[in-house]
Amino acid sequence: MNFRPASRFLGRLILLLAATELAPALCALAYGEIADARAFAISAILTGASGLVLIRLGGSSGELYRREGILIVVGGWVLASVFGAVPYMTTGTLLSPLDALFESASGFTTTGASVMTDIESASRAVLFWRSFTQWLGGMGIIVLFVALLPELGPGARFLYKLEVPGPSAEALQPRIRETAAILWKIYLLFTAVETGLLMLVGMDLYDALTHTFSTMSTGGFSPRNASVAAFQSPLVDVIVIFFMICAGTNFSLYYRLKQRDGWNLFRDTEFRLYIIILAVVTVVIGWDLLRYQTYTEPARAGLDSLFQVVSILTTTGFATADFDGWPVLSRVLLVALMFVGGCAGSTSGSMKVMRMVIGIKTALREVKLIFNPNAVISIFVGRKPVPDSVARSVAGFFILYLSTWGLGSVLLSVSGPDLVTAATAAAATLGNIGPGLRAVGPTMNFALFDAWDKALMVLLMLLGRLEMYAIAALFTRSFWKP
Amino acid sequence: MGAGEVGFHLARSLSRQGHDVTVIEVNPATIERIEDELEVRVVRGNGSRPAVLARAEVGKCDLFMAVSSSEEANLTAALIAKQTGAQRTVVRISEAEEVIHDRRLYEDLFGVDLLLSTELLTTIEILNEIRGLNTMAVEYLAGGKVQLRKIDLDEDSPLTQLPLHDVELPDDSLVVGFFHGDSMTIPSADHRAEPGDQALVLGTTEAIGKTERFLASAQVELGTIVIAGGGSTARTVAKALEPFRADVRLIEQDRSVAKQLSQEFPRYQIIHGDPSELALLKAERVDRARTFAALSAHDETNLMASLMAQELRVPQVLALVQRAETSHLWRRLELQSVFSPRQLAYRRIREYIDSDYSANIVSLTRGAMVVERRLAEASPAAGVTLAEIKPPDGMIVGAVARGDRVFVPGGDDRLEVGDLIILFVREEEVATMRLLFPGRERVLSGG
Repeated sequence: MNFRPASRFLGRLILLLAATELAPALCALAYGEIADARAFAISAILTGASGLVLIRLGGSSGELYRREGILIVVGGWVLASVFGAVPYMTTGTLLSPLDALFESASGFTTTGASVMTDIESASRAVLFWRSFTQWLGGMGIIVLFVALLPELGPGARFLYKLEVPGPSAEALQPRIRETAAILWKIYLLFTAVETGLLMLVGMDLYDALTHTFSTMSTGGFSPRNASVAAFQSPLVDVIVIFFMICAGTNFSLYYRLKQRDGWNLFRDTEFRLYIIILAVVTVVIGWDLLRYQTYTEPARAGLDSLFQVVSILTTTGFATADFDGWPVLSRVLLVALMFVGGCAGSTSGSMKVMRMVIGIKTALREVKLIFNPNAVISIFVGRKPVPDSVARSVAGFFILYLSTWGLGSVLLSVSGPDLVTAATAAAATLGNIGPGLRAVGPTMNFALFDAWDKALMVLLMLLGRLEMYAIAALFTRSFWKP
Repeated sequence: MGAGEVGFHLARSLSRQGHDVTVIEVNPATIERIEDELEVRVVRGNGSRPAVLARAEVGKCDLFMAVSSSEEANLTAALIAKQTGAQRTVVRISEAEEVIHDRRLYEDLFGVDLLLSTELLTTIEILNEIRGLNTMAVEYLAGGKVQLRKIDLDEDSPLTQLPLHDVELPDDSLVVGFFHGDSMTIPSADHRAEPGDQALVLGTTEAIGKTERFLASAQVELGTIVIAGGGSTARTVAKALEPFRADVRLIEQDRSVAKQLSQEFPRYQIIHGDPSELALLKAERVDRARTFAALSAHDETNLMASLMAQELRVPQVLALVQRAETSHLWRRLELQSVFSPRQLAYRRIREYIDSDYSANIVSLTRGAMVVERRLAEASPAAGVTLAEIKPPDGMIVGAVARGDRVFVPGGDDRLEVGDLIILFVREEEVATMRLLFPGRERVLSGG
């Protein structure tokens, strides 16, 4: 293991993070929250100094191989969560370091689970930081870093692959740095458009920007206690729904849209299936809601069903209705969606539609091979063959993901909540969704859990965001051996 | 150049006919055999070296044939020969794709007059056999974007019930000829075919399948086709069968090759195993297949596999044989449909020479020809609509390739300079054709 270049790398990453902490400081100044501005400045100085120390400890000598790459990506996310937690403490919002870490990790991993009991009592700068961390984590801090630093070279490709969600990260350009820059540009463009539209329908700049941050990153933090429901505006709902769907789509599709050769998004198998899942589940839940007269107005039932379905499938976690009170079929369907997630290459979490497709097709292939052992069958998605190495990696992911969820549920139930709470809390944190059911339902929060549970959930969130393998590698003995 | 199986046979028959033949060959054993058996001049050395070619005086020859088994050597030699003054060149390559897609490129870059692919020749022969047609079943024109197909007509076909101008064909396809017995006619608008005739239909690759289903009411049911081996010939045949929607199964011994096949042919069943193993063939229900084609690169495997298929009473058994001299032995084992790629290449070149290097599609018919022309600026047809050109009865403008687009032109379509035009012409109208479309004559055929 070559720690020196990794340390230098991480130091620069932390330095970058320190710079981003100046944004909420400016926000605090704008709203006259002088104490908070100072708190953010102190946090930025602390973070920056730590970054400098890491750079000093490190050196430029030595190559970056896969092990160092894994260490950098995992280390980057852990350190970002740790230093991102500092402002919550310096501003006095969350006094317990573990609570601050939970909130920060939930931000960067775009989970959106909160331990704050009264969100609106926090200062505007802190809530801005909360949403801003989601926005940074959505497209990926490593991808941002790769986009900004020219001298990374070929090693950057592996870092990029580790962070970009989905079974096989696509490179749009021969240089990974250009790919990363393109992704961030698309992300910025969507952010600008959504903010503009939300302001057009009456939101102020602050609300529009913070909600856009949480929408485009599929994070789900809202500066309002009632989440998006606070605005009581179908127009806001529709805009947020549209952009959540956009954020859950593979970003390289947008690039191809620009290149004119992929003008029809529906030609993409994964996107098509993603929209079909959204449409079908929305209709079924809408019907279920009317059947049990949870709603009397079909339009309202349809819109709320669509919003909740999109919010859960894209792993955003916004709410416009308390779906914990919905009929059982609706709740079961929403929990099932928690395990699907958006498309590969999007900002969403969970397992991804693409993995579902490949996983199911791999299983069906085994079924065919039972009665036809000599057949050689390739798996296709659309017209593209899926390499066996990818199919294998997807099967491994399924097992790792589901067993982690199972183990997480068991460990969370030690402190004694009910079954649904423990199971959905594990699914919601591992899938980077946010709310679950019962005690962690959309109107509740995660403050009830004890310190151990919170630490475990921080780990689950990071495992989910980095898609298991990178973090799991750290738990193997051979990773640390030369 | 190259006195392998193809070259040796060519040299023997050409010298017997009284041509002066020079053979360039590097292998001492082959040279010895040539000197013993043939009355030809032998130049020792590597045929892709300018010095060797100069010694053979290729600059003075009427026809230079590069028929060794090395594609690169053949192309290099042909290029040098053409540059130093050889009248015509024939180049043998292996891959079929090259001939289908890039023939023009080879013609323009290397000055090749006849580019032939042993694989494509074999594929077309095999396809004919599978479809039960005695001559050409499919030709690829304009870089594979246009196909020519021969279709059997019965009394229910629209073409036998109505005169040609009343039959509304699907878009981008055209009837360009009728076969009645052995003779082919280029039809006039009021022509009506008789049952038992065959129609020659041209269409874009997308359109032609639809047209065939429209014209041939009694479908040629290809049934299940089992192909043993996954080498390049097997792949080319499998690819050529794709538009016919046949149930194709490929048996391949090498797992990684089988894997590749399964990615290349999502609609086919790929089986991993030894095609000469009776148990495997039985387990895969090969006895229910209509056709069994042993197309691996090894004669022994093909022989064993075909015998097994015969044992399982598969109605049609085809086999690929590399060593042509053994084909009579195969026949003795009642394996009738034996294909030797080298023999086919030899036959194709003979036809080319015998027809006086003409631009005829020899495999098509006598009395009519297919010509591919790039529309020159000097042509009187440039910038004029088809209706204005008024092509005579014995001439049909079959297809136009413009940039990436290929279409079958109607009366209102205007021809532009640079268009690639495929023409069907009766011999009497060749003079008119040359007047309308001046340019270099090119050989058009599968090989």
